[in-house]
Amino acid sequence: MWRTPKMLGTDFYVFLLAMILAIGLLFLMVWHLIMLDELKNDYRNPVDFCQNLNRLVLPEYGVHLGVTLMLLVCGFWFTFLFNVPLVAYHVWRYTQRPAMTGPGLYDPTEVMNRSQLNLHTREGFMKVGFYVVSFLVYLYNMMVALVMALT
Amino acid sequence: MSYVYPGTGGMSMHSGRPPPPSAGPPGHVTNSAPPPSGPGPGGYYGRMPYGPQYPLPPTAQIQPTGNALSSGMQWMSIRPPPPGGSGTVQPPSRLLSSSGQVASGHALPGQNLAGHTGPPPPHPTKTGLPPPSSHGAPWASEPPKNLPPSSSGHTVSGQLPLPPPMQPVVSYNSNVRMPPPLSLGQPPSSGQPLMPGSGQPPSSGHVPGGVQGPRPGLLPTPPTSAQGLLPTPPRQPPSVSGHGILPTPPPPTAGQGGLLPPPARPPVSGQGLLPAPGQLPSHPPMTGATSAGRYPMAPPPGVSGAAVMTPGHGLLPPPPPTVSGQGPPPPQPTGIGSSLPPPPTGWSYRGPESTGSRPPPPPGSTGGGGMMGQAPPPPPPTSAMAPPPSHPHMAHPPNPHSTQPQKPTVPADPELRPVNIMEARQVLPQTPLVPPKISLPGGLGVFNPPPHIMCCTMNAVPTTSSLLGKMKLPLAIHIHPYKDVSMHECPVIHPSTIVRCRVCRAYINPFVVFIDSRHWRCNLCFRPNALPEDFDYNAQTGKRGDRGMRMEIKRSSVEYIASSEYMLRPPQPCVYYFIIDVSYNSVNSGVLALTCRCLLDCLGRVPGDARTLVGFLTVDSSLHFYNLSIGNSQPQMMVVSDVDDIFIPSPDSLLVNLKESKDMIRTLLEDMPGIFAETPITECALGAALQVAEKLLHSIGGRVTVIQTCLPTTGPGALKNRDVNPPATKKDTINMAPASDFYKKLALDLSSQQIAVDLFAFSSSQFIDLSTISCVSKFSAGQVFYYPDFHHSQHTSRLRYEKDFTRYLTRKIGFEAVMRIRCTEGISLHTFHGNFFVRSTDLLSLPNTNPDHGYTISLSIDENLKDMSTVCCQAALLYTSSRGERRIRVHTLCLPVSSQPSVLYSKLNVVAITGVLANMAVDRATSSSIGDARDALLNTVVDCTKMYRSQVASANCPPFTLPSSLAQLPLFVLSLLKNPAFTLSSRISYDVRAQTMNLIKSTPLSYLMPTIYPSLYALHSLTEQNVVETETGETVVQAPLLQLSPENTSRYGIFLMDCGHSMYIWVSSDAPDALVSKILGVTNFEAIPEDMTTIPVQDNESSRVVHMLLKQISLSRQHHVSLIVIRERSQKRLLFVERLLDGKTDNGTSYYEFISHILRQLGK
Repeated sequence: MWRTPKMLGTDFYVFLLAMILAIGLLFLMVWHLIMLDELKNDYRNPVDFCQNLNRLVLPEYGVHLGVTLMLLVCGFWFTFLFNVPLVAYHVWRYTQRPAMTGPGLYDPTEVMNRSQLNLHTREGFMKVGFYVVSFLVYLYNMMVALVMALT
Repeated sequence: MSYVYPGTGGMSMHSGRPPPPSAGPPGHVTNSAPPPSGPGPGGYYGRMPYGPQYPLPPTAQIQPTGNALSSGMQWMSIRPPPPGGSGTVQPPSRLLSSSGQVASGHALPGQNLAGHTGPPPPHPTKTGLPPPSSHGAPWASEPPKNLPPSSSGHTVSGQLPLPPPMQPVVSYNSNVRMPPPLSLGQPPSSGQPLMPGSGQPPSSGHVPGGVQGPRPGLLPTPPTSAQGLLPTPPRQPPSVSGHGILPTPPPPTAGQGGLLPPPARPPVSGQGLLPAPGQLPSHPPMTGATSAGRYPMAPPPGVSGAAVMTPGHGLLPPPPPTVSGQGPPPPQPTGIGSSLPPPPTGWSYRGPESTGSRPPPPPGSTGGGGMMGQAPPPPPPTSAMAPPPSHPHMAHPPNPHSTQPQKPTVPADPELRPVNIMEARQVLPQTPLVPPKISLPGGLGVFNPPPHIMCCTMNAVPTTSSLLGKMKLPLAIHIHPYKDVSMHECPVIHPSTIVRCRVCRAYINPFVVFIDSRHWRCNLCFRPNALPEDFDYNAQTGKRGDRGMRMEIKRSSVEYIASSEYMLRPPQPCVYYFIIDVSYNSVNSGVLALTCRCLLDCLGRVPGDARTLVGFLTVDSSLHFYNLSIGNSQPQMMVVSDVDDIFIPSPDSLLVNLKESKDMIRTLLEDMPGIFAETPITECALGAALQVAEKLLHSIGGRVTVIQTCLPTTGPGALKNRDVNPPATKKDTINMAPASDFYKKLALDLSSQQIAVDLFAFSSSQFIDLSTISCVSKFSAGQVFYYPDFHHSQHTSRLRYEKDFTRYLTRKIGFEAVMRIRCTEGISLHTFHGNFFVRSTDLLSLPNTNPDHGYTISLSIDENLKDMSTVCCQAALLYTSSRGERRIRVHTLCLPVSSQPSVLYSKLNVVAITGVLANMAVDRATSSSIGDARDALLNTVVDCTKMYRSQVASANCPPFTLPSSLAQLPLFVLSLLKNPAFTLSSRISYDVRAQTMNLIKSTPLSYLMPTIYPSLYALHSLTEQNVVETETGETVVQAPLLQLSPENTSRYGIFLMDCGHSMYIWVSSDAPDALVSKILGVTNFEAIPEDMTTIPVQDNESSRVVHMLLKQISLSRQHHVSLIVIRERSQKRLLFVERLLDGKTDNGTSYYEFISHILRQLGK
């Protein structure tokens, strides 16, 4: 016989939110990869590509940073530390971007270089992997929190 | 919003008639002007000083108020109207708000848009141009009519030269009678009639001399049974002496012709016969079924055994009798086919020197001699006009006899001769470096385009990317697609259908394979395609089955005249828009006057048809538009001083027909220097001017020429005088990245509207941030010219600008161009270098194309290429010519594939490699810093030396050993390190550095190389003996090249240094007076003037030869080559001395220190 939990802890909600955001980031990265593939296969113009993706770079970084800070504030050290390397990478990546007036990373004049394309693709795949893992971590933590609340 | 164009001047603009100026009191007109409304330019109008100007005095002369200029545009006539006209004329004084008189009559302060009546122009913020149809003749009615008559389907225009005659006698040596080919189920006879000469009975002996084989590979199927007939492959010792002990050649009993079934296919039997050591595994014999359509059995070129067999596809000029891969490439085999102009490359690339000891084959020994692999004698040294393929003047050529035998992987090949860099005293040959021969199966190599049009860094492509990676050298092609070439080099054809692969859309080319009479197999995607019905119909002879005149399969460079299906829109008129900086710098340095004069001179020679449109815009802190429409009595100027929110007054009268308005344009250009003669304005709104050009040309496209003399400091795209020079201690952190992306984004917009911007930048010692503003040209496929320290009083720089600008105005131009590069499947394009925008993975967007641009494209290998024997790259440039024809220029390069490091190393093109390295270093300097670029250059030498040692060289060779094909690499890398682009010397200004990098990116390789490593000749030793006649009958001076070391010039003498854009004649102080007077025409050394830029023609041997040489160098370039005579101890001596790159200069070490440094790096 299950007891109705009196109240789910904040950690449940924190991880639920983090999980949802991770899913969002995951889909964003998958879409990113699809765009790259379209660019490679000539279905997309580099100018459009850069316009589309540049708009989303900072939101993605922001969401990830927000999740990380949320974990820090709530004191989930392990998951926070798990995310720190990616935050550092994002900061570094953004400082290395070419001279641009608008936000974003991608320069239409250089994005068609094969080395750049490969770099972006590899980065995309690694981030997809990262978000999948973080999704699982959050899911696990959420379940743990749920079980703890239930028991 | 309603526009009122008060004043009669305004009337004139639209009515197209010269107006009676001052037809009414201006005040009246302005009073009738309703207040402007509307959101867009509202701000603009809001700033207009209506108040002070009303009511205007009835006189036409207006004394502007302080903000008269800022109030907007005013039309003004820049030249007094004819007498009897109104008194409202403005003298051509400068329009200055402070002192100048604002034009009257046509222009009233406060009138926003003088010059328009009738329908209001479009909304200023979106100043739409009128539809293009208003700009000239109906282009739609201009189909490519002026084409060579093409009555039937296919016409070759003009008198196209026949392909080089085929070699009459072939020494095919094989004891194997090849069975008739299994041409994919087609009886061989079905393909025969197509091939002239195929009617020869197979047993008719050698391929007859008259064979006009259209092309090889007509019957690609290899005789599968050939393998069975082959004897066990004997191991062929690779040593030179091995030739003598080759397995006894099978008696050439079968009759040479018998070996060559009409469509003879190449190397199959040869491979079986004499496989090179280690060759078989990588090139397993394939059966016909799997290999049909390719050249599957093609041995790696140059492998000794592999080449023993038939060089041609039966219809091609076969190689000289020395088919063994050891024969000297181009020299004519004595007595055999000596009348043939271009000797086939065959598979031989042995240089002359290593074969010199071997006796030439008996002239008639077509079979046995060739079979023995004996090399014909080296070409006589005097006939060396056509430079031998290898470097015959290498200083200490190691004896091939001593080096070869121990190393079975290294065939006896002079190109692969290891060179100990530390001991080689003279690595540069005395003759110009030429790339190694491309050894294609079947002698297809003769079809390849000349290296100055298209060349590859590796004339044998590695089979796998790991093999390429192990070489640590770039695989790239250089293309000069739109070079000014003769009809002979690039025939123009107009077939009824342009034959292309239906899958990959490649154009048919000499390297495709004809499966049967109706089908061909694409050499890029290997898919079969049908031939059009009339492909075999020869319009000139009226016969079928004759492909002999099909230029697209005879030449690797052809130009098609395309039909309307190759057009996105009808050909637009040529549009030339000139944006001329008229700020103080421009006027003071004389740029404005010179520009106007050159324009005046060249107006009649600008390419274009009757629809050609021209427009002018002058710019300082405001923009000055010119109405040149023929309705006016004189040009009218209109000033827009609000540069932040641009709109264009009367857009339909700013671009005028060149022919119709020629007088008006002349008037304008004659007056323009005077108008701005006393300008005090030092600012320039370049960004705004470019935005105007974009709006004005957006529906037509065209070319924008920018004359810029100062840093753009106002309006959109304003730049700051940033501090680009890092502290002296951190010189290598110089970063060449642009300061803003304004110009880049603008260039992308321009590019999408088919507008290209060419930039002529001048500076008089101040910073103009060329690395930023040149972006507008880089990404719109324009060209950048830069003249540092320009002043019209300096003869040299003035002359250079005049020549450059004249050539620029009159050279060919192609509009709305795209270039697509297709490669054989398995090879992909990696990085592009040049001025363009990459629109997709293989498509370069070139709003304009010009003959002075070259492109470099790095390739990567995606798949294992071992199944194919050749790979191809095809560059197709689609453009609209200035006559409104849509044309496609196609260049196809075919390269053999090899998996053998020894072959790969022997086929390296060191000049092309240097060009690619320079391009890559520029990228590195832009994305990172100069220091990184220098390190990368240095590391290339170190890495590739290590790799060569580990892969090919023997263990006991000296540490710094390179193959002879790469022997010059350290020298060229050192010269790159000392190049203004990459040197750390503080004397190089940032702009010069940026421009040098631009040039490296955009200059074709053949013009770039002299700027990297100049050519040095000793003029004092030139005699008539240096004048030789080439095979083609031209008389050329063959002056020995000197290495750029100071000791070469320290002796007495007179030297000529060819640096690409300039030539320097250096007179040593010890030069004897007789010599000086003979060559330079002055009495002695002391009498040489300081600024001598020409040398007189005199009637003596030395002078004649020197002038021939100078002319020869000038003619080899498309651009102007200036000449400066520098005597020792002159002020200009640095120009010469700092280019003695082998020596120790103030920006780098000497060559010997450099290679010692590399040696130390190698030891680490």
